[in-house]
Amino acid sequence: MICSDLVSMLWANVMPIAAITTMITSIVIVLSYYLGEAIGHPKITLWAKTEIVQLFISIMAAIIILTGIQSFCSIDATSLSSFVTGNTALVPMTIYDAAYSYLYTTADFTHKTMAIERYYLGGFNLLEGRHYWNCQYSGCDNILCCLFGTSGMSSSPFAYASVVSVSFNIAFNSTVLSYLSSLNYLFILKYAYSGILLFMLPLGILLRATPYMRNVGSLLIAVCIAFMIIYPTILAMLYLFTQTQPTDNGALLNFSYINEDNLKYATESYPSGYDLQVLPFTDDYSTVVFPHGRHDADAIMLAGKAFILGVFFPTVALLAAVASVRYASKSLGEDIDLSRVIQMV
Amino acid sequence: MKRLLLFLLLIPFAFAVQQWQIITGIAILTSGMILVALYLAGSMGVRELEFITHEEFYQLIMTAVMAAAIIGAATFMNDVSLGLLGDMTIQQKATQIIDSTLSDVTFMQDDAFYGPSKKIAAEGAKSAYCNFMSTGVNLATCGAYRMLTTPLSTAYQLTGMVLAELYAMKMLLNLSSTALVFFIPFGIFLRAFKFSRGAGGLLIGLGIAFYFVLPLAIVAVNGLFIENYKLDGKSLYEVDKLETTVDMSDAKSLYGFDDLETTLDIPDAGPVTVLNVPKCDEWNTGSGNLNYAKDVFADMQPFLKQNLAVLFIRGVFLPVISLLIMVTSIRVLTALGGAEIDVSLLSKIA
Repeated sequence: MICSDLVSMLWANVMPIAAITTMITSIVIVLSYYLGEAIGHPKITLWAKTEIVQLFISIMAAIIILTGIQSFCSIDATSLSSFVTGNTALVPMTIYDAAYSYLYTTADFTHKTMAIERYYLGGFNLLEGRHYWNCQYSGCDNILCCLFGTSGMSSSPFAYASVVSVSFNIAFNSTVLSYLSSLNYLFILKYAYSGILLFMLPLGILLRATPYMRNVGSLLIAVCIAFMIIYPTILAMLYLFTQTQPTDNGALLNFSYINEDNLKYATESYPSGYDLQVLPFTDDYSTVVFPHGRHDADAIMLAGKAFILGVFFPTVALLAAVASVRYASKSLGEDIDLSRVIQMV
Repeated sequence: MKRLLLFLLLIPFAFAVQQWQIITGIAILTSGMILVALYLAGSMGVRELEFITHEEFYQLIMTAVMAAAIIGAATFMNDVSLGLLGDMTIQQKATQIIDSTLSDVTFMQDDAFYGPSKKIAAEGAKSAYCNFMSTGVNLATCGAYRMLTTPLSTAYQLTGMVLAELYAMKMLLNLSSTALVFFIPFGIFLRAFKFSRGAGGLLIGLGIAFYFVLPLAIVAVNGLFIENYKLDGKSLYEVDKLETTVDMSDAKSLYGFDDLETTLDIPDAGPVTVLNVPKCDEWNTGSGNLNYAKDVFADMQPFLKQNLAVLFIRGVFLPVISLLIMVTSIRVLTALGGAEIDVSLLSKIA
């Protein structure tokens, strides 16, 4: 799916623009060479000779990127997993699709986890707010007591929910971070798939042959290599890894469990099937909110899993990409210090 | 370029073998073949390409040496751990430790803290209202119980954090089982080329860190600070409210204190005891409820201490130290692999 758009963009836009840029650069270099020869200026001639070699390196880098993309669109990523782990149940997909699937399924998973944490927090809020007022009390335990005043006692049988719910605050906040992080990395990948090559590769070829702009050009080509080759590869590998993992916490991820109707039902003043006199003092009301029982520990553990999948792993992929930017730009002739970029990330 | 494309397409076939060592070997061979192809292209007149390929061959030899070292280390560690840990690899032992801690912390949250919290919060929420001729007074006679929920709430917060952290650790440990299969071969392949050396170095570093360092750190920290912990001949689980007299003679002579004797309570990490919570009488305006709350608070102190001691040492100390060791090792390992990567971001996340 991604590859069809990517390859068509490659042939329809990137290749012609890159070719035009290469031709323009070649013409400028050739003209400069003859100009240097004509006016007898050896510096211009030397510059033209140097730039021809640099242009060749740029073209080689562009060919590596384009060949890499074509290959990544041909290689079945899931076949790697089936060869290595023996798991043949995976749907065949290219490396680019596998990378996208990793971040997409992670975003989906963290979103579901976020919904679970929110549901628990919502359920606990409902429980802790459930007060009970009784005008009958010890010393006056008949209905007549209620006729002569509003004296009585108040209680909140589910006040414990305010104590328990704090453990979900961290889980919820962490999951929100994981969700936003996975979306962030997904958008970076989508941007890489959609426009990074079209803009950066031709500009990189042009700028590498422009005086004083070689480091910028090298950086642009290096970014293309990093985000079209390295970043998707690491993500695809992570996708294969997650596919080999056992699916746990499955019961919680079943959305019938955290059906919103349960919360709506719990807010009704008199849930049918329950005796109002008995209800507030028993655990039965808790089962209205959590009809399948509570799984606090499992719900919190999901937040930990979401953090690793949504923050830790994609950060490793981005670090690998940034590291390759440095090494690729170095191999293209310019060493770029990216430590500040890493700090920003 | 056709040759390069052909070699790239050959990579999936390299992964056809189940043994990761063979996969690694094939990755090195594939990298070598691509370099040969580039060298041949360079020998046709492109001197720079020839020079770069020449340099890359040295890097490939270094990579092959590294791969051999990793294979040797993995085999050695498996043999040693199978002997020492009783038919368990170091990765299995680490997973067992984390699973056991997870189980204990889950018990703490679901049972140990839940029961007292339920009772204390319910009692603390009670109040009475007395009204006569529209003039009333609200009696918050159970208010003293409310302050008891704060330490329990903090304990819950901590257990929540620890549960998430331990499960995240478990995910990383799961990765260790496939680290050699996915990370090392691909890292070696990427490391063979200059433009992807950083990524390759990072992958090799991650593979070694996940496969060797993290499980080893967990087992070592657990062995040193938890399993083999001895104080007066008692293990962490057997310590029963020890009282150690602290020698304060220096302080006496220095500050002139007389009869100064301090005892240091060592937290008891024994089995969880039940915290008794007496019922609050909302109509009792005397000091009865206050005394009840005071008694519960006194009982709560050792109750929380004995639970939180386990939580802090096994749930916080062990994962934090293990993760720090692992992340620090990634930097060293990537530097050893010839591609130093700034992993400060991973340290912050860890």
